[in-house]
Amino acid sequence: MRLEVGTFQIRAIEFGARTGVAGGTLVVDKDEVRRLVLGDSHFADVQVHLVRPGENVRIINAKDAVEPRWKVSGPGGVFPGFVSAPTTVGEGRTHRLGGVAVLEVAEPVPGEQTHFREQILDMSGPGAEFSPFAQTLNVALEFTPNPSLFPSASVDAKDVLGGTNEAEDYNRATTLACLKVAAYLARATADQTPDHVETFELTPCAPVLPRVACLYHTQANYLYGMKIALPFGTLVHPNEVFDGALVGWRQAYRSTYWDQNNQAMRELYQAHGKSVNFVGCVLFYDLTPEREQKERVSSAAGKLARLLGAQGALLLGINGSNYAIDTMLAIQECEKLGIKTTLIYLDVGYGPDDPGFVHAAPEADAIVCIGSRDRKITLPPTAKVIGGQRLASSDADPRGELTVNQRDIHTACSTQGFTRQTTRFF
Amino acid sequence: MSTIRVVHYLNQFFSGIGAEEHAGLGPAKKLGVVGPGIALQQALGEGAQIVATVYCGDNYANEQANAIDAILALVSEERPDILIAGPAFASGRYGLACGELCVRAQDRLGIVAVTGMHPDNPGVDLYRTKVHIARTRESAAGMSDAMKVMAQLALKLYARVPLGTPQEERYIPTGRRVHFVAEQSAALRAVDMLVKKMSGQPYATEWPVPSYSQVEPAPPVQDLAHAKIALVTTGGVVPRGNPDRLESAYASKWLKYPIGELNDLKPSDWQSIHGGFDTTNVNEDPNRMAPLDALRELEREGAFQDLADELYTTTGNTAAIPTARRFAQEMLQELRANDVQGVILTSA
Repeated sequence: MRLEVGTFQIRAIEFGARTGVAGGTLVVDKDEVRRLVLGDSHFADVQVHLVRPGENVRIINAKDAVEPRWKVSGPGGVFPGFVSAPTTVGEGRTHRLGGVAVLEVAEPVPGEQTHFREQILDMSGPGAEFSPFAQTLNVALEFTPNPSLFPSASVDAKDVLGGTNEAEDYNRATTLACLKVAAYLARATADQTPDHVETFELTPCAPVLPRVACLYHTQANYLYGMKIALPFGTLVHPNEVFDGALVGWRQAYRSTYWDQNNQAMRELYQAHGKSVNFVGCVLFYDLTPEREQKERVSSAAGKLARLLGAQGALLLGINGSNYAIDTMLAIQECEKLGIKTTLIYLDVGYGPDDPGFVHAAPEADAIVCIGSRDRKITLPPTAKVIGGQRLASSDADPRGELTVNQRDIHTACSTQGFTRQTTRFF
Repeated sequence: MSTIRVVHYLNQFFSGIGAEEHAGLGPAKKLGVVGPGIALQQALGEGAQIVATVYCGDNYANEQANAIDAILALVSEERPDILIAGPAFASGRYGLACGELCVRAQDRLGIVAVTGMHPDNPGVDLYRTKVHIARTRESAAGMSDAMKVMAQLALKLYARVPLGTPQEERYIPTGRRVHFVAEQSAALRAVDMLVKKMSGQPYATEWPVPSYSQVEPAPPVQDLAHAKIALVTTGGVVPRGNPDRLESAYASKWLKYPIGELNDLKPSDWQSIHGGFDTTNVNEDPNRMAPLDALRELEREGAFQDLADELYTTTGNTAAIPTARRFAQEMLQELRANDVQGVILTSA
């Protein structure tokens, strides 16, 4: 499976009459973007904002972020199951607009759980150091739902991950709209030559190199357009992930953009053939309130790693909830099978008394820390707010000074590997 | 530069007074070094001098009111720059005295204070976030090593030299976090660490996992038929509408609600606001989270004497361990005051 990713490095973004890329500038036809979104009856309106690094702008109620990509040759298309047929991707040539993100901005709708939902993106000031999307040129889509969808404002939330069926359906629609716009923007480059091309192929390696898998404890994502738990895990090629097979936002913990550019997988590619033999990715995740579910999902993750012949596993883990146990059990399972592990992990400690783990296994003896969820960050007042009048979980004026937790900042607690934020324990 | 003044604290055993039969000894002081203080003085080197050794029996220090203040007064008289207490190794009462004395020396005298303990010493849990505790072996076989570590820690703290990690400097983690931006991404650091681990090269985790203290299960209720039982839940069960705004996650409080007049929890009156699971079934029948109906039945059958008149409730979702510990201690006080002998604890 050989994937060429051609990058058009974008340095400026502006509205114009015809969407296109020229000389490092992305021109966005606002009317066409609106037409694309409003073709879906879920929406009464959409505002299209262009937001740049360094601007005195605060985006609130931000959700997923997606990188514009388009498949120019080879089987399937980008964002399979949403924008293209749900058939296997990861081959041929894909174009990307480097340095650009399409942001999904939507206030919570009735029936949607709002705790943990806060996602603030300051494009300048101290908050900008924590979100990767303060460094990208952003096309922010601010959605207004069709009022007929949510006649009642007093719907009880149904479950923590999706809320009511109506809320979940609406949130899928906002995600789909972002993916459509992302594909549309990159499609404009279909006949152009990219600035540079990277090739991703898991070529045969010298047998002496240790076989390494990426074990990804994902959370409630769409895989090929299907929202599905993975109690027995599944195998994917990293190229499928780069082509947008894995879609979904999960608070500060993950965004689609950083799977299209998953840094853990990219670094394993970098090391492939030099210090490791990267053999593929295991995705695993289940809702696990019961002990048996935890045992099942973690055991299956270890088994798939073993079927890949892995001698090492890089785990992207979940902390801060009962899933933390599943991550730790998966590590124990791997180590028991003789598969050496490292873990990229978030500190969820609340004060010095709290060691920061929901659960810890002694086998987890090689952890890379991506910072602390409850670290306090003070954001100064801002000149402009996009994304509504109210914050998701606070009554504070979104224009004013805000003291927030790191987890309230957009994609600031992601284990997808890109962050350089870290914490040491003294 | 003038010599740094150090006071050393010991218990009755290490000061050479005697073993357990002398544990009731009150605070006293000798000038200069005593017993293991010789090794400590060596470790401190020429720049620092042990001017006095203060000692006290372990029982006295733990049981007598104002004992620690009396010890502190003896320390204070010497106008020290540094207090070094112990090491207490795995000895619990000694560790508690060393920990408390160091905290007060820091807070009231404003001086550097260091002690040493084995990680299992009960003093570690209580004081590791407040004072630097050198990690020692279980017994005095580790004395000279412990003295070196304590001396190094004390001198560095006194000179305001930033301490390295607990692994490097061999102290018990204090829980203090330092946030910074690393030179390399998490992904690159993880791949490097994995390659080292697989090839048997040395590597250092950025975050050592804790070893949790085990909670011993309580012994069974002796005479259940005559016991008062309370219903406690971390399943976020509250009166419908959540009048006291119990949090769905990160609970900052626990609540209690009268159930003395109720036979069960009706869905029209009760709900769960827990944010970590699908509450649909519980909201159809709140008894399935807080089983009041079943407990009333058992009460009628005489399985136990009676049920406490209040439901104790909080949300366990994403709770921090110290907060959960505080909830338990606060609830326990009330439960004991109400003569409750056992609880049914349910969780989501």
